[in-house]
Amino acid sequence: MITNPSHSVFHRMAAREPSRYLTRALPRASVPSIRPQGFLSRRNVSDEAPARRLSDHLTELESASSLSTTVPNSAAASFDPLARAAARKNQLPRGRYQFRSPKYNRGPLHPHQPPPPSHPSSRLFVPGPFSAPRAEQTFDSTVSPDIMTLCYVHTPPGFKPPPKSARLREWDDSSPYHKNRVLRGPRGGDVLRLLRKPIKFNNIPEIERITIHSYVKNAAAERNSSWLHVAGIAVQAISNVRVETFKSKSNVAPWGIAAGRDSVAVKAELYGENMYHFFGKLVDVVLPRIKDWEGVKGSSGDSSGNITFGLIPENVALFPELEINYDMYPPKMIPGCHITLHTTAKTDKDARLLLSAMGIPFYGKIVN
Amino acid sequence: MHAAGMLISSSARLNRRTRFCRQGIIPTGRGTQLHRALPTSTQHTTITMKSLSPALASLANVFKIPMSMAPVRPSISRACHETLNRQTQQPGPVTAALQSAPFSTTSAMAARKGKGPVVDKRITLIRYFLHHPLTPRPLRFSRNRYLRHWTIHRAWQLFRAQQRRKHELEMMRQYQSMQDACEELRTGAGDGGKLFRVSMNKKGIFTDMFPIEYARMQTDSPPSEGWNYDWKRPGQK
Repeated sequence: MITNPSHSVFHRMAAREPSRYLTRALPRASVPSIRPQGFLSRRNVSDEAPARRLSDHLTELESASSLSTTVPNSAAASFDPLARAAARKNQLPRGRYQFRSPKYNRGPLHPHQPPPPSHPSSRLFVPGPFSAPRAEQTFDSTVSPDIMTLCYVHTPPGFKPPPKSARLREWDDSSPYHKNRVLRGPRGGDVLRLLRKPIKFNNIPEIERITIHSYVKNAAAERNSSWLHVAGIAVQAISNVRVETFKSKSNVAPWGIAAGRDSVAVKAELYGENMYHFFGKLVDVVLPRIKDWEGVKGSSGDSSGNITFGLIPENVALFPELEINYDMYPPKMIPGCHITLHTTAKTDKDARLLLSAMGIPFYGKIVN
Repeated sequence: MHAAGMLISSSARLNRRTRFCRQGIIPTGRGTQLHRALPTSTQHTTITMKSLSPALASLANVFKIPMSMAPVRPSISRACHETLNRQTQQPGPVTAALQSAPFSTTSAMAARKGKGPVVDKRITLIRYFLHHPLTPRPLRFSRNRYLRHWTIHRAWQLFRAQQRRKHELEMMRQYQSMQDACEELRTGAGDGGKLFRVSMNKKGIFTDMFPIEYARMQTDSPPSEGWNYDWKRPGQK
C-alpha cells in the first residue's frame, strides 16, 4: 500500500514542524498571527488624534429605546398564532422546506418550471451588484447626456422621414425564374449591415460587455498545459470572471496545432459590475502606463459597434492584480490578450465616440 | 445525543474528504497523511475529539476555530507555504504519485525513474488554485428567514428599477427641452434660422471625438479647482 520512503518523508516532516493540530487546539489569541489584527482601526502616532471622543458618539445615540414602546392591548389580545395556524385551510410547508429549482430544463410543457433568473432560488441567480463602479457612475451622469446632445438632430414637429427603399431588393421580373426566388441582398456585397436609428434619449450607446481573449501559442507548441493554466489564472485575476478554454478549430501544421486536439485559447466575458470595474482599471491604471502607446487604431472595429485592441504581455502585467504579486507568475508565461469592447452602438463611429468619451484614445485614420 | 451527532457529522465530513482525496480533488496535506495508518475514520475522530478539553472546545467556539480535524478546504496561506517550503525539489517516487498526482505533470513511471521534468512551484500553486472548487454551498434557509431574504431582494430590485426609471425620465426631460430650444432657434430667433443651422452642424464630431482630457472618471473627493477654464487644445491658439 504505502511503501517505506513515503513514511520516512512524513516522519521527517512531522519532526521538523509542530503539529497542525497543536496550533489548532490553542486559543487563537495566544498564537502569533501574521496579519496585524484590527487593520482598519489602526492609528499611528504621527496621525492626528481623533477629534471626537467617545462621549460625542454616545450623545449621537437616541435616548429612547425601541424596546420600551408599548403594544396596544387590542393587538396583544388578537395575537394568537396557534389559532391562526389552525384556521388556515391549507397547511404551510414545514419550516425547513425549501423550493429547489429543477436541475434540467424539461421544456415549457413540463409542470415543474424554473423560477426567473432574478429570483433568489433560481440556479442562475447572481446576487449583487455590490458596488457602484466609477465608470458606470461617470457614464450615467456625464457621458450619456453629452453624447445625446452631440448626436442630436432636430426635426420639426410633424416631420416624417421619407420612406426608405427595402434593404433586401426585389428581383426585376425579367426572367420567369425570378418567381418565388429569395430576395436580393444589398448593393455592394452580401453583408446586411445593422440599421442605425437616430440617437435619442432611450438608445444612447453604452458598453454592453467586454471580452478578454488570449491565444496562447506555446500551449500547443510546447505540449505543456502550464502555459494555458498560467494564462487562464492571469485572465481570471484581471477580470474576476471564470475563464473558458477553447480548442483550435483548424489545422495549422507549422504551429503544430490540429483541429479539436489542442486547447489553445482562454476567454473571459465580462458583464455589468465586473465589466465596469475592469474598464475603469484599464483606462485609469493600465493604458496610461503603456510606453509609447498611441491608442487604439482608428480602423479597428467590426462595423457594427464592437472595437477590439490588443495588449502585449508586458502591458497585461501592468494590471494591479498581477502587479501586486508579480513574483507568483512565471514572467515568460504571462499572456498577451485581445480585448473587445462590445457596445450597443450600431456603427463603429458611434462606438468610437462613446469610447473616446470614456477614455480610450484613437489614432490614425478613422475608418468607419 | 449531541455528542453523537457531532461525531457523526464530523466523521461524515472526514469521509467526504477522504473520498475527495481519492478522487484527487483535494490534495492531501501532511495531517491526513499522518493519520492514514489508522484503520477507520470513526476511530480517528473519536481519538481526536477526546483530546480536546471542554474549556478548549468552548474557547474554540468563541474564537470561531473549526473543531473538525479535517477541514473542507485548507487555507490559502497554508497551501502556499506547504508548496513553497517543500524541501525536496523532486518528491519521493511514490509520494509524488500519491500526494501531488492531480497537480503534477509527471507520470508515475517517469517519477519512479527519477527523471521527470522539474515543475515550477508557482505553476503547481497556480494549478492548485485554478482547479480548486470555490463555489460555496447554496444558501439554505428556513421559511421565515427565506421570506426575509426574499423581501429584501424584492425591495432592492424595486429600488433599482425606480432609479433606472428616474434616470430615464431625466434623460427624456433633457431631450425634450433640447428639442424645444432648437425649435425656438429655428422659428423664433429672428435671424432667419442661422443660429439653428450653426447649431446643427455636426462637423468634426465623429472624427475629432472627445478630447482625452474630458474622459476623467468621477471621484468621491474631486479637487476644489476641478476645471481649468484657461485650457486650450495644444494645437489651438
